[in-house]
Amino acid sequence: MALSCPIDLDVARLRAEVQAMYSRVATDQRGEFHFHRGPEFAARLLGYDSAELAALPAAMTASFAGVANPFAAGSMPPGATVLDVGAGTGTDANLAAAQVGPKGRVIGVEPTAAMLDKARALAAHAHLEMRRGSAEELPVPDASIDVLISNGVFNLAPDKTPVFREVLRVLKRGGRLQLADIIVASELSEAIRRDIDLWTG
Amino acid sequence: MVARYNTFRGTSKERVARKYGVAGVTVRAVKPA
Repeated sequence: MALSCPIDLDVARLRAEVQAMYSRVATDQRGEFHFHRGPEFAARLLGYDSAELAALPAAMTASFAGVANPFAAGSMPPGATVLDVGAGTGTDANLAAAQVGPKGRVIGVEPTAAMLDKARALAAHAHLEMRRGSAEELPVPDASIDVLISNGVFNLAPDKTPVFREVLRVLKRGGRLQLADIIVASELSEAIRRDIDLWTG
Repeated sequence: MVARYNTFRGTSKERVARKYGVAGVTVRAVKPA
């Protein structure tokens, strides 16, 4: 797997576009997007449990924009400390909080202010904490996490090396990464790799 | 383990996703003890 995009890319502009896109997902879920959102998509195409999603606030799950299902790789152990990288409005983080129970802890990290505000307002568990930060600089101590989950976030980083370096830093020895993201099976043209609109999806 | 999903089915990206083999996946990895 390539860990960085082999072309020059305006990284600052890409980050701004990503944040603008996901601010819209937080505030205007019915707008025009080229990716699915919401609980029906999560249940029908990604295998999420509809009853578990229905137990969460509708305003939270309406902004769900994951691309796969980190819980397909195993549920969160009771009492575990879980980190959700790019937690959005908190759907996966709240599902994880229900699984770890009150003796566990879930930290959601999110760079987009609109997502973060909504996640904090709607959080359904006292042992869930949302923090502002990015996948490249996680606001979490070394070796403090039992399970790291993420859904559709690593693909937005033009250079994956610092992202995976942070994964290794924050996980405890024997800790798990349950990564839900997108893959590309064939080489993309330079024109496609330069298209920031395609990166932000 | 790897779980694979047809993540872009029904979206404006579906044709491009099929062309380039873009799909949602879930993978699990463990940091060595």
